[in-house]
Amino acid sequence: MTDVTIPADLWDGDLEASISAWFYEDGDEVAANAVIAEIMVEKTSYELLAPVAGTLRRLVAEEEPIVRGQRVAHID
Amino acid sequence: MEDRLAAWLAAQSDAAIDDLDMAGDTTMLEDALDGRIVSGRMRIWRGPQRLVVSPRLARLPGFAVAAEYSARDGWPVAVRLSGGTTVVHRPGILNVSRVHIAEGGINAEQGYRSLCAGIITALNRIGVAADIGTVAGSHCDGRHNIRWNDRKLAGTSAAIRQRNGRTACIAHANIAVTGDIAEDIAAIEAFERRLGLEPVYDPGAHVTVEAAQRYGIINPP
Repeated sequence: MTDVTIPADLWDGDLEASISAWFYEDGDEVAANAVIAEIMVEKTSYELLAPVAGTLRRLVAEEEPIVRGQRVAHID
Repeated sequence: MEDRLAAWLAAQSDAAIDDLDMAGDTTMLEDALDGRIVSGRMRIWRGPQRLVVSPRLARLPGFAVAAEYSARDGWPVAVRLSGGTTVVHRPGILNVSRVHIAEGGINAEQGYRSLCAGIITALNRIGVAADIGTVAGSHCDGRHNIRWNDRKLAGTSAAIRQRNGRTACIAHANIAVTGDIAEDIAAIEAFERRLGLEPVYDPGAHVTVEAAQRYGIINPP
């Protein structure tokens, strides 16, 4: 199992952030480096990439607040 | 006025003025990720009259219908790469995009700061003293607005992408140089209401570069 975490240096301070969209459903197969989600921090969009290939297990809902370094999914 | 500001921006930052419209930003970001351009590349461009929204707004359930009504009112809707809410493109609005590239990690702050610094320098050259900050009551508000006397001259947004260990940030500014901001806001509010949002924007929170410059001439420091 490989964790999918929000990079700790993705933004500064305690800004409000969330996953604005998951591009795969829970349980979907994803390829390594596939764009699996869009993260929105204020007016900046980031892409979240799958670190490895496998089955995506989402841990956070769309629009739920997230913080830097948080585990938001894992890939089996 | 628009041409003059574009020329100042181009001269000081070695930026290209092009007619590639929004597609130019996608190309510039791809070129940055593939190593075909260097960090700091800037482009200055204009778009036809339309509203431009973030992907997040475009995913709302009522988007297609709201966009159709907006187009009937003369404001077709396009979707950009970056975040935020709704902005306007039209004659009198100048767009500036700047790419920032880094090996490994990056955050957007550097991209915003570099973009805004270049624009503020150009505005100073035409007599408009500007700074950066939020503007209460403005549409698509954010921490990196370019302001004159606490009124919004330009909004900014950014998108960050990664590929093959390289990270690129494209930061974009939407500068109101001339024109009727009250009309812009009416179009934005009509569209966002149809999306089910409850926008309340104040035209007085905004100002055009032309109006700010005129004020400076009439009321010199």
